[in-house]
Amino acid sequence: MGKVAADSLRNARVMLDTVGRNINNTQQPGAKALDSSINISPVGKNGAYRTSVVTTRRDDPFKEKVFFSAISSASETEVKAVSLSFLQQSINSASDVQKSRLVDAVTQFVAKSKSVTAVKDVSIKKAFIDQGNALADTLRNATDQVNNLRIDADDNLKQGIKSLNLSLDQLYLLNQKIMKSSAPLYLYDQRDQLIADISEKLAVQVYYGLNGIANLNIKGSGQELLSATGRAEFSYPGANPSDLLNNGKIPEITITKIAKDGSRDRVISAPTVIVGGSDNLSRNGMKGGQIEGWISLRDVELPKSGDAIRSLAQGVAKAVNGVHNNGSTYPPKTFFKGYQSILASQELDLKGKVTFFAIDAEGNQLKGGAGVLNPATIDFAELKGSGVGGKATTLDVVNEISQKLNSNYAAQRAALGNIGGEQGQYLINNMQLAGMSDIGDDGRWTFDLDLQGNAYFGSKIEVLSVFREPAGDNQEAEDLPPAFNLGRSVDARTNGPISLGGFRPGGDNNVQVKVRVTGDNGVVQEGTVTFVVNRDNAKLNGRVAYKTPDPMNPYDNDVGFTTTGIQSHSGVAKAMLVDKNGSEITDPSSSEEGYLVIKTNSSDYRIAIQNGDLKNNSLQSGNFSTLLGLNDFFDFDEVTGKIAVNQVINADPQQLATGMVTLNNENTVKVKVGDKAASADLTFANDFTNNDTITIAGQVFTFVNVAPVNQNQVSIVGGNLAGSLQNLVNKISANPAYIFTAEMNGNDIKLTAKTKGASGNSLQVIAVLNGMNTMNGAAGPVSFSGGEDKDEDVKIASYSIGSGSVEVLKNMQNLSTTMLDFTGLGSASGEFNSTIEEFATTVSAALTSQYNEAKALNGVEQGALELLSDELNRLFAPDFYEEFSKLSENKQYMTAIATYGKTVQSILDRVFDLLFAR
Amino acid sequence: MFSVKKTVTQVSIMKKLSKACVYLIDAIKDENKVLESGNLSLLEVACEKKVKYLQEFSDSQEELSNFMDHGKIDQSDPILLELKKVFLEIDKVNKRNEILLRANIEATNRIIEFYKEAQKNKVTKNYGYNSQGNIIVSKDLEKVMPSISLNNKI
Repeated sequence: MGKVAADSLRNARVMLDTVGRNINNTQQPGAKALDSSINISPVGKNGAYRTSVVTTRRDDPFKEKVFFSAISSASETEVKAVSLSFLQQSINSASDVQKSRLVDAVTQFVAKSKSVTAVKDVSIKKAFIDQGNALADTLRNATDQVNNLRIDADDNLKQGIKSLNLSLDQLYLLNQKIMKSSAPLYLYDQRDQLIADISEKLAVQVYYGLNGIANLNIKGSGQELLSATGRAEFSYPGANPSDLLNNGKIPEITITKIAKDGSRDRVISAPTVIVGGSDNLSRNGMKGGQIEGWISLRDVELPKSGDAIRSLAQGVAKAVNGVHNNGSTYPPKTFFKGYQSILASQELDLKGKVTFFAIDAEGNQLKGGAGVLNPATIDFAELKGSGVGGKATTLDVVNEISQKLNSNYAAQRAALGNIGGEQGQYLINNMQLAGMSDIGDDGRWTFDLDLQGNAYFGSKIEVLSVFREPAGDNQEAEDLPPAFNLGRSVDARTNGPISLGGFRPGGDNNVQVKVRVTGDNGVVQEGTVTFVVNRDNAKLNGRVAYKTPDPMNPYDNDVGFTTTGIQSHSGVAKAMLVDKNGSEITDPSSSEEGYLVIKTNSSDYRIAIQNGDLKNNSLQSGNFSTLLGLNDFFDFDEVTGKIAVNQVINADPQQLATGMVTLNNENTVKVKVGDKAASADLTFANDFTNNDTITIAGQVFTFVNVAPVNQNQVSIVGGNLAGSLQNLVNKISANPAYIFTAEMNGNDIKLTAKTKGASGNSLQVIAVLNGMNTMNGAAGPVSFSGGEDKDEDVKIASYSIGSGSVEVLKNMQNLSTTMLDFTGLGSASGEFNSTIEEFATTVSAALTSQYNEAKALNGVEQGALELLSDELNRLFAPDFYEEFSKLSENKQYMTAIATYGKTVQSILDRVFDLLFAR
Repeated sequence: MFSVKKTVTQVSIMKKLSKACVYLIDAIKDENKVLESGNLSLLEVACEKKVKYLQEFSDSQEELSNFMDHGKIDQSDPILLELKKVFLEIDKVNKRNEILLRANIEATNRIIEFYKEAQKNKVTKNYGYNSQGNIIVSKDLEKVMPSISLNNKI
């Protein structure tokens, strides 16, 4: 047992240690194998040799760097895929991952409306409301899940930053050991492990320094993370969850440089921002790894998911509220308050029309002495206001509603065209002037007419002339509006502007309007009525109602209109803009946010509001009550993006709007209608001479020898009466505005009233002829005759809503097939025209697609990482079979050592024998 | 012809033998401690020491044998009684040494079997390290290999 034996023993021990370490690391991921080999070198000149063991580590720094980079990429994609998978789990059915809970909840809600048929039963209403709560819960849970995942992402970011700091500190300390170590190889696995830990958090560039110490920079920015002399330390306090979810402050991530001073840290640079907070989210100096994954989840991916769910919640609320807002509770309401806050001067994005029904507690149309109160419709496309470009503001709308529901009903009336049925029923039940502007500084005012129709017949209204008095500076409107068709049971503005100048300040101005009404019943009547206009009442959208004139007024020359003896109805309701304390806001410049309130003047008066055109009751033809949230089923919170069933409805199922006010034609009344048209046959003795005139129903025709210069002149053929009359017939036929027709009858002419009925008998023909010519052989006028009326049963229009009305629920059912416009946000971004269920499917698919994209990307990154990992393992990791072989050798070595023990025993036995056995 | 130096006496032989025995006991005890603790890095020193004193023990046995060829041992020498005790001590620590070596060999066999099994059930991650730098099987590994310096940390 000499020196060589001892050397061999030492070498064997080193090699055994190497094998032991390799065996330990055969399953240690990322570990690299160490190889020990015997190195024999000559000692001196006498042929002696010294043996030593050389240990090397199998690795490739370039491949390692690629591997670290792959760890960063895979870690970034992994946190996204995992987080989004949690969201997928929460929005998909537990029993069937292909089934979306979001879609299911919408489908079940719509389906529930089909089962609600007997709305008089409160429990059935309650069941429908509960289904709405279930839908809201599903959407809210999805939003909560997104919110929780965002909070988690931020918390993970906070913890990840701490962990990163710890790893940097550990690697810094390890670097110090590596620098001092005589066998640094044994520390490289630990070094690489820490670099892998850091790469998991952040993408880094690795540079190996003296003895293999690791220097790290942030990949991309080159920001130094670790060197032989110092390390970076990050600071992130984490966002307050409430701030995070409500667009509040998200703190910055700062970086500072730390050096070790003995065992204590010493800050050697002031903190600087490396990742921006909420005021600069685009700044990100920490790319790659879980940190970027968490930041991206928190600020991009999950907000995209949240916005998609928000858009579904908003779409559901919009669609369902669109239906619910179009309906009415039973009994109908006396009070409406908008859910949406608005400003007085705000130009509201109101579309289409809205109609207000004045009804009683039983749901029947309110009646006054002048018959039933017509539905009051506002056409927002026509409503002018004080906003930019003449657009209506909130206060304009508020005032218009009050005009319609309060002032119009309460005002004194001027009616024209007695129908002959109930008292107070006229073709035009009332006519008012409605301002399309204030009176300007130039004294000019533009207005249209606000007309109240009747429950019997529609009519055509022609404005024949408009004058402003007093005399001396009379002004006549030059351009008159086209004829206006006033429907049955309709109150409407004509929206045809009439403009007059010369309104004097500080006093009244009379405006005389002459109109002709032609009813569907054959009644034709002309009338003139005078309105007293001044700067106080001639306002934009202000109404100037008829007012009994001062007995001393010299301009009271109303003709045809009935202004006395007809009763009106008191005002039904008023609209107001109120602040959060309930105080009315009337100042257009107020910056106070308010809510629209519509309140009836008596508990006996009820209101039902329906959007859109009554003839075309499509859900999207009007948005008034939906936009303002006057009768919402779902409350949508703009801040949180969550929906909930309206509290009032939840507390009282009777507040569920189930029906709509509908038109009834059940009541039949006998009234006179036109049967035969009046006519007049005219015979002339001679042909006409220059300047002869014939006036038919007020329309003057002048015969001339020259070429006619206007539509009232008729050319004389000269000695050919039939030819001249044919010219007259041609003139009359060419103008469809005339209320009569003309045709030749041999050498005579036959005039016929266009409208059938006895009222045509009032038409007259007056001829002023020169010379010996005569009309029908006499000098006097010729009256139309033969016009006859007949009694006819007419169904009267009336509107009502009953306790069993289910129109709203039917429309809810129709949501399954009704195509609506939806705006998708976030990962479901886009404009969609689809059913509500299809939109839910779109949003759900977008969320799944967002997850699948993240999953696919992660799959690619993980695959690349696995390939790299496999390659590194194949090339550099300790191999079991190789080490197994070495282990067997070690066993033999142990066995060899055991022979020393046998030698000891053998010698001991011999000595014992020598000493004691002889 | 082998000659015995005059200076070789029973006393000197016994002293040398006694000294070799005591050192050998210490050396075997050291080796046993290393084997028990599993700290293979110290085995070199312990084993070298043991080999050195084994050599001395062997030399003492040779001298005794030579002495006995020409003389006789005085059996009344009290040192013989002491030597008897020392021999029993050598026997005792050497048997323990044998047991420990056998245990190490056995442990090696079990490691081999363990890794054969572990290779079949490789379930660890494909990359990186867990936060403690450990692998899943490391605790089981410690149980089966207490004496050959393998633990689950680098």
